[in-house]
Parts: sequence; C-alpha cells; structure tokens
Amino acid sequence: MKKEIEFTINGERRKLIVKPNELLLNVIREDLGLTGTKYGCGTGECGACTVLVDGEPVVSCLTLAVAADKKTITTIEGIGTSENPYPLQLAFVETGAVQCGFCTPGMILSAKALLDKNPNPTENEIKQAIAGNLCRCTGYVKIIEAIKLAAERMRGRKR
Amino acid sequence: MGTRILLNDFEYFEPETISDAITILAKYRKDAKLIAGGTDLLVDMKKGKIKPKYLVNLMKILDLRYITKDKRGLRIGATTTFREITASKLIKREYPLLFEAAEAMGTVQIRNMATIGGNICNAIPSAEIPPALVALDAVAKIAGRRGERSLPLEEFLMGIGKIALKSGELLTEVYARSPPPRSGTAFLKLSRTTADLATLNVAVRVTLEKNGACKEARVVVGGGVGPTLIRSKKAEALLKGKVLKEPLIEKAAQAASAQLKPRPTSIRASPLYKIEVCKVLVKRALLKALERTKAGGAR
Amino acid sequence: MVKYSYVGKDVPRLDAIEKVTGTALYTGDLRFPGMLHTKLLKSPYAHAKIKKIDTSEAEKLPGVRAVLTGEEAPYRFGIYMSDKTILAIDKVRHVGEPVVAVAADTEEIAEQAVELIKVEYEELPAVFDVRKAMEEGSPLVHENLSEYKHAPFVYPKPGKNIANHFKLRKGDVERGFREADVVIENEFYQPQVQNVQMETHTSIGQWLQNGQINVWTSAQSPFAVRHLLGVGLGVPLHRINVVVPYIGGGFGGKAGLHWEPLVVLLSKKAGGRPVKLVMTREEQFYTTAVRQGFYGRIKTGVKRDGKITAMEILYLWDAGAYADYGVNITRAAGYSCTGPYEIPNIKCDSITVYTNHPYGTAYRGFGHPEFHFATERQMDLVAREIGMDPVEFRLKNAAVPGRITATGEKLREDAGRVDECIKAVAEAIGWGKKEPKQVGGKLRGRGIAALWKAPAMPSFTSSSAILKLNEDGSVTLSISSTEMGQGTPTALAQIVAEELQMPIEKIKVVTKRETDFGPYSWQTVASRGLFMEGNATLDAAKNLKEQVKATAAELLGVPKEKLVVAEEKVFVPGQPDKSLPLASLATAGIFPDGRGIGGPVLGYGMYTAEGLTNLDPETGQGLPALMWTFGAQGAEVEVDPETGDVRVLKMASAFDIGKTINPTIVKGQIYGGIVQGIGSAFMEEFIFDQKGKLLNSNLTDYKICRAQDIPDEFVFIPIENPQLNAPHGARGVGEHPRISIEPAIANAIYDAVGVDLFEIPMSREKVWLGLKRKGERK
Repeated sequence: MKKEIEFTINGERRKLIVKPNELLLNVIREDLGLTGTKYGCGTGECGACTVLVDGEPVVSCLTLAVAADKKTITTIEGIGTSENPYPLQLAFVETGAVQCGFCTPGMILSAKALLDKNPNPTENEIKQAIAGNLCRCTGYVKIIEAIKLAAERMRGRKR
Repeated sequence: MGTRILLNDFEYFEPETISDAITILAKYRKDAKLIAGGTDLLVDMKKGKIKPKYLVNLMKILDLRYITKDKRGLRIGATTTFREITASKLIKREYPLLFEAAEAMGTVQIRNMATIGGNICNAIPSAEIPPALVALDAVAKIAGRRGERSLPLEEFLMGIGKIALKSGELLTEVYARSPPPRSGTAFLKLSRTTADLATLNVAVRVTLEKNGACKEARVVVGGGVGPTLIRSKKAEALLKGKVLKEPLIEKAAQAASAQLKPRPTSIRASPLYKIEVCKVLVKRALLKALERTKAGGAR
Repeated sequence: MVKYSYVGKDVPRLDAIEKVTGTALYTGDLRFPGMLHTKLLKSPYAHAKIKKIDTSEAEKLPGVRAVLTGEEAPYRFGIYMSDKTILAIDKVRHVGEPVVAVAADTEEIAEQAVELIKVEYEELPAVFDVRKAMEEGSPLVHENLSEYKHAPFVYPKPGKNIANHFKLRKGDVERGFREADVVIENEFYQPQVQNVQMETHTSIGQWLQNGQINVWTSAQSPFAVRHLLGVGLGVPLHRINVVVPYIGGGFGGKAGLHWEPLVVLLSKKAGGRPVKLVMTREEQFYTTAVRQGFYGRIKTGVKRDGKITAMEILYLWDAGAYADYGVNITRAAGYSCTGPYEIPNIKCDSITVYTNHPYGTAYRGFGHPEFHFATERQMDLVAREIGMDPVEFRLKNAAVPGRITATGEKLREDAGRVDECIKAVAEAIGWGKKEPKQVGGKLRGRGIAALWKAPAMPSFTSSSAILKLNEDGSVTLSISSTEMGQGTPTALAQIVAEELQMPIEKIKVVTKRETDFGPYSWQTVASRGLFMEGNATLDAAKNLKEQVKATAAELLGVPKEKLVVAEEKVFVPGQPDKSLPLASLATAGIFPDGRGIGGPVLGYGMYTAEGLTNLDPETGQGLPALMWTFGAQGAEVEVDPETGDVRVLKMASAFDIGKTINPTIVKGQIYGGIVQGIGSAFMEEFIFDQKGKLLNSNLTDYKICRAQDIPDEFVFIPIENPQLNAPHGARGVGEHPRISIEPAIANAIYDAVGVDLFEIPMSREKVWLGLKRKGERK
C-alpha cells in the first residue's frame, strides 16, 4: 500500500508517493535525482549515504522513506554549489581532502553537523564526528585538516 | 538478498499513542514488528532474516521519548535515541556510566537513529548500554493490553534475540537507579576499532560505606560472553563488606571472568582471550570506579 | 636547478569541486531510458557440480527481461590467464560465484526472480589451504587448465592446482649457504583481504541490435575492458565503446575486466536495453575479486659482517578459484622477491595456487605488501641473530645504483636511493635514541622496513595523449588513464602548464574516458600513470608546440627555431612585433591577405615502456622494471601488555619519487596508503567457515580503519633523485605507501615487547598470545 509523504529537501517542499519498504537513499537518488548521496554498504557502516535529517546526520540506507515524512532533509546538493560553495566544501578542495570523492558528500555533511553545533572542535571531536564515514583513499589526515580550516574560517566570519 | 533494497513488503503503521500501538500489536501478533531507529531491524530485513508483514513505527509516540529524573532514579523513554542520551547534561553529570556506554555504541549516525529501547529489545549480546543499565539496577517497564508491569533488566534479557516481552507487549521505559552516595562507576569496551561490535563490555559500580569499605558492587560483563550479558554476583559478593585493595579486586575480576561462556565461533576473539582479558578489564574498571568514588560525588 | 612555475606546486585537484558538491558522476549515478537492473544468483557451495538449473518460474515473473545462465555465455575472459567464464558453467568454484543473472525493470523484481530460480548442486570436495592444494590427490579446481589461453610469461601446471610457477635462479644458492656463517629460516602468512573501494563494482552494458556495444563502467582501464571484451566475445573493437566516468576507488580491484561482459550479454538477451549491475557490499566481498592470500618461507644465509650470501624463497599465493590477475602478481612478487637488496645467490619459487576461496586480483602493491611482510620481518630476525643493528644491516645490503637485482639488472645510475630513504626514516623515527620505553603501563617500540616496487606490466605497454588547442587559446588534454582518486590528471595538467608555460586555469583534462575518442592507454594500474601518461603528455605538448611554431614561423617570417611558446603566445623573445596569440592559430593561421595556413592544432604524444625484456622462463633473469620506486617506513607503537592492544603513535615514511609534481597529491597517496596498511596490519582478514563460506562479508564484521584509528603523527620525507627518462624525473608512488607498513609495525612490536609475529593481521589477541607464551617460557 503506497503512502503519501511530504518533506522539505534542500529547502524545497516535496510531495511523494512511496511504498513503505522504500529506502530514503533510493528515493533521494532515483526519485529526486540527487545522486550525490551514495550507496556504499547498505548496513549503516560506511556513511556514504549520510544525509542530514532535521540537522542531524543519519544513514539514509537504513531510513524508511515513509519515516522521513514531515522532516527536513539536507543532502550534499543542498549546502553549496560550484559557484557558491559552503566553506567546508572549499576547505576540502583547498587542503586536498578529496580523492576518489565517493565518501566526500557524506563526510562533508557529518562535518557540517559537527560545526553547526560545535564551531571550535578539537581534533578528537572531529575524529569522533566523522567516525561514521569510511574513507579508503585519504587516511583521513587531510579531511581532518579541512574541517579544522573550515571551522577556523567560519568562526572568523561570525566574529 | 542484498543490502541495496528492502525486498520485504509490509503494511506500515505510525501509532501516536502507546495504546494504539498495543492494539495493532495485539491484532497482528507475530506478523507485526516494532521499529524505532531501524538500524538493526532494517539490516535484518534486508538480509531476509525476518520478514514482518506489519511494521509498527514507534517514533511518532511522543510519550515514549523522554529523559527525566525522580527521587530514586532516571527514567528513559524507550524511543529516546542514543544521541539524546549522550547530549543529556543530566546523564553526563549524574550517570556517567550511561553516558560512556551510550557513546561507545556505533557511530554518530547510528546514535542519531538508534533508540535505547530498540537496542535492549534486539538483545544482541555485544550491546553496550545493557551492562551499564544492569550495573545501575535498571528496571524495564512494559506495557500490554492488561496494563503495565516491570521487570529487572537482567531478567528482561533472556538470550540472543530473546526478551521477556509477551505477544502484544512493548517496552516503554527503562528506569535506572541513582547511584547512592559514595559510588563510582566505570565502563570499558574492547573492540577492534571504533564503532565495532564489542569484543568485551565491562560496566561496574562500587558504592562505599562511610568507613571506606565496599557497601555494594555491581560487576557486569557483555560482548559475546554468553547468550546475554553476565552479572557476576560472585564477584560482587567478594567485594561486599571489604576494603577494596588490588589483590581483592583481582580476585573479583577472576571470579567474574570465570563465569564467561563465550561461543567458540566468534570472529572477534577466542573464548580464551575473552576470559583472560576480561580479568584485566574488570580489574581496570573496578580500579577506575574506586578512584571515582573519591572524586567527591562524581560517579 | 630548473625553475618551475607549475610543477612541484600545490595545484588544487581539478576534480575536487565537482566531488565536494555532489555533482561528480560515477557509473552508478547514470540512468538511461529503458534501463534494466541486474541481480545475481550465487553459489552457496565452495565447490559443486551444477546438476540442473530451472529458471522457468523466474522468467514468468512480470518485469523480468532476461535470465542468463553460464551455458548461454560460453566465453572465457582474461588478461593473463583466461580461466574464468562470466557465470559458472558445469561447476561452481567458490561460495558467491554467480550462477544465474537476471535483468528486470527494477532491482526488486530482479531479486524476486532470483529467489524463484532453482539450482541443483552436487557438492564436491573442496580445498582451501594452498599447501594442501599442491599435494597429490588434492581436489582439482580446474580440470581443463591445459586448454586455457594465457600470456606467454605464465607457466601453468595442468593436472595440478598451479596456475603459474615463476622461477628465479641467480648465482648458486647452495654455495651461498655454505659461505654463510648463519642460516635462518622462517615462515610468514597473510590472509585474503579486500580492496574495499567505497564504490562497489558498477557496470552498465548495452548490446544494440545493430551490433554496437556500449559500456559504462567503474573500470580502471577502459582500453583493457574494450580489448578483453572484444576478444572474449569475438566482437571487433570498433564496435565497442567503453566509457569510464569518475571511479569511487580502485586500488587494483577494478583493473582488467570484471562484470562488463555480463551486463552486455544480458542486454543482448533483453533486446538491446541498457542493463545495470551494482554490486552489493556483500558481493563486493565474495563475488567479485579480492586480494590473494599469502604463505611465504624464506631461508637466508648471512655472514657475521652482515653481508647476505643467499636467499631461498618460496611464495605461495592463494589465488582462490580464478587466477587471471593472480598469475601476474605471482610473477611480479617473484622478480622482486628479495626486497630492495643485492643478494648474490637466490632461488625463488613463486607459485599461484588455485583453491576454492573467492578469486584473487590486484590490490594496491600487487603482491608487494604481502611478501615485504616476509622479507622485512626476516631482515630484522636475521640482524638480531648476528647482533647487528637492523638499519645498519639493511644499509649494508641495500640495492643502490650500480648493484645487481635478483633478475640480474644493474640498477641505473639515476635509479632511486633506498639507502637515503632508510636513513631519512631512521632519523625521523628517532632510531637509536634512548627514550623511555614504558609510558603509563604501556610499552613503546620502533621498527623500520624498506621496500621497492616497479610497475608490473608487459615489457612493451604504451600510453598516448592528445592535446587540443581550442579556439580561445585554452587547451584540452585527452588521456585514457582514469581518475579513481589518485589525482594523476591534475599532475598531468601541471605538466602541460609547465611545458606550454600556460596558466593552469586554461587547461582542461577530459573527465570522462571514452575509447571511441580517447587515445590509447594500456591500463591505469601499477603506479605507472604519472610516468607513462606523463611522458606521453609531455610528448603531446611538445608536438603541439611544434605545430604552432611551424605555422607561426610562416606567418611571422622567422625561423621556427627562434620561436618560443609561453603566456598563451608564440613569439621571438625580445621582439614584441614577432608574436602571435595561440588562439589565432587554433583553427588555422591567417596571412594578412586572408589566406589560411596550417590547420586545427592537435598535439599527439605517446610513450612506450623502454628497456624492458622478457624474463628467462627457468631463471627469471631479464629486465622487468621501467622504474623502481624505493622507500622505507618507520613505525612507533605503544603496546598494552595486558590486552595486547597496539596503537601506532607515529609513522615516518620516505620514498624516492624523483620529483614531486604536486606535494598535496603525493601526501594524499602517502597517508591513504599508510592507513590502508594499518587496517591490514591489525584487523582486515577474510574469515571462513569450514565450508569456505565467508563469515565477515560486510563492514560490520570486516573492519577497515576509521578516523580514530590513524596514527597520532605522520612524517613524510620526499627523496628526490630524478630519473632521467621520467617526466621531470618523477616516479610513481601510488602503491608504495601501502607496502611495508605491516613489517614496520611488527618490528616495532618486537622492539616494544619482544614478541615476534609471523602472521597478519596482528590482532591484539595474537600479540597477547605472544606475550603469554613469552611469560610462560620465562
């Protein structure tokens, strides 16, 4: 039995009719065409499918689309563009935190959730915040550096 | 079966009250499954381990999601997420054991989704928070068609995937006792990496008399050490009434690990290792808890 | 000293902005009208006869468009050893091997159809241990080994489970042992592991009714895919177009050919509709390829003064059920078998062994991380036996320029310097410095391991590049080396910028690889891209300049030799009137009277590996190496003596990369490789049940490093002794940081607690057991 749901995604309200067993990940990718969110493992271990639901990072591969009804969702496409990148996106580019790029969208969203709450995180807090996002290329070093750099810049802007 | 899609089709319910949830459960019985965070359930469904016909989402029941304190203890609603537990200043300040155990579970994403009730009801032996709760003499509150009942959490957890819920019942709350004065607690987890399922979990509490002797102790071990967690009453008895010195603590640790019955098939560590290293962890946890009793009320 | 404008600078990666905004497209993100989705029925048995397959129910399911069995796909594919069909025929050889494939309108329907297929198997005795697999009477994994096509440098042994036996004989090993004062023998082991690219293997195939085949795939090497697909299916290559968008990590696991033939054949059966296959993570672990398991036995003879006189080496490779890549890994490890040392007398046998495990393929380092664990542990064990400092011992035997390698190659004068790498790392790690060993109940230790690796490839592989001058004076570089995270295209853009003295912003590197349009490249593997594509790109840039100069010389009436290309102009230095913007020559030069000259400028460049030869089949002597990249790794660890827990506090690494083209990209390779190595050192391993079923085929049970598992400190020391035939002297370093991590850590663990480890992973349980045994011996 299909169900109508309504949520706000990247600032836009969307109404969708979904089957109860559809996963948020597949709805975002297939129905909404937002392919920045990736399938990596399907069991919530790798974080490639991370999106923000009401500001908090969750794994969309283990989220039922029906359960996202009335929620506010942010995907990588919702935080910045090439012309107007979010500070974290720019910091990832500049520090060399991107390699194959498959983990990058999820990684940036986890980092964003961290900085939204904690603008001045310690290195350990950064590591903990991105522990749910696996990266096989970078060894995390440059990613941590990028998050620090973005935090610094974003704090500067607020002052 | 694969992890890219959820093949299993089901009818979906979103009750807004506990009694509505119970009504649905009573109607569909074994064909119905409760879902909260979904982080374990959906994995099992993707793998085809379970195929519920009806799925009852509890997350719209506002009455199940709270953290409150009363005179004797702490009430945590069943669908309270791990993230809410770790973010609670009350818990961090007064129940550091729960904070440490909750933070040791999963990743940020999983903690944002997974709930305390779901974690308990899945009854996975490697779960972090149940040993911590048992060390605080936690009680499970259960609602069913015939009303409410309570059960000590150690009795609620019966084995791998086995809990004391009867058909048509649901877990509504866990109630943890406030550590008495002069208490100290500690939680230690051993795993291959962060966010791995635990090889061992150790949660302990020691409460001292005014004269410094041990008034009461709790020693709880989890992590694939048997069908469910093990509370070592033997270890606790050894400590009770005594002044806690290292040789005694070592003896208690020995007694606790002697009770372990790890399955030989674990991919994480052999039974020998678990039993031997359990001694180390229990000893360290007790020493840390003892240290914390001295830290003037910090537990 | 050459003064560089672009080479050696931290140019941000060209692909980064697309990747951080989520707009970069990977194969899985592509959709086509009418596209179908694939699911696989996989073998539950490690070794079984297929008695009967009944797909009738599946075919009746609405939405199912094609059901394919092995019998309908009797094609063997392979680059070095064509031992594999795309679906099992007659028998299955490992748990997870695909038996039937279904293409349907949705993944859901495809999966439902798979559940309706009935297969009858008859279980056969299976073999899982390489040494047992080599015994007489062992179950045979491939009965028809003699019929398989294979590369000429592969030596299979039909009637046995041996896909390749590589032999190396140098000097007289018996004499070498007689000359030795001490002879030491040890055994080493590494399990099968997986590359764990974040993107699972993904392919889309379309076999149109007009005969045209289109493939979009997450493959490292589009031209290898096209070639192997064409040869395997018997289709002319001009009828196949292979497109590779961004790849979500390869690490060797996406080299060669994988599931492309399957989607193409499904498409044919479905009337030409595009068919997509995305491997699930579980399939990535046991259906698609993995890294081979390793068993090594090394006997070393040494003089008291530290000179090694002989090495006798046996490497057995657990290739699993198929050995297409395994045979070449065996060979590469065979010719590099000693590690970076000059050994006068060597006998090495490196053998690819079939078992009923998942099948092996390339994984970053191509056998070198495995055998270096053996050789570099052995170096420490031997040094200890003769009472010599392990650093001094390594330096004494180091393969420096002029010395002779295992295959009889005299290292060129401009070869890299392993001795400099070892010394740099020793210093960075505080070798020999007295520091407190015990810190808060934990014990600290330091260890070092050296390494070398050359690209493992046929002796004559080649690459090419096309550099197009656009109408506005910008340039577009086409190469067919893929972007899978390693960053080579950005480095190539820097090389173009340097050669043309043109701002980097004016240079585009084509992001999508497409065999219909792109220039040929053998493969994107083996840390060869920068060297091979770099040389081809330089050649193309020079060619473009020649074309521009030829036209400009006519237009300006000056000799070609006087012209210089820079700053988007071609000009005679010091003569401002003798200058033309490059843009004015892009389509054709124009004389003042309107006559045209020249034409569209398209620089072409190529490079073919130089100086390589075949290796002698009996002695392995010859020239296998385009370049050796040398290096060393140092680890500082802290061991918890009560639990066996090991923490890596610091890693120091040095590689002789000749010349740094982009420091940040190099560091990305270094840190990433180290952390992969740490995962393997401590926790990555395939764990099977007795029936060969993988017990940890998911990321819950198979762990790779998370952010909290990395060392507290990384020190990287670039060593830059340029190689004259390399682009700006630069050698490849993609795989090398992944090598010799495990032995450096193992040597450090010994230094900390006196426990010798011979098996990977070095789980805390193994360390703890070592400590326990040591305690019992006392």
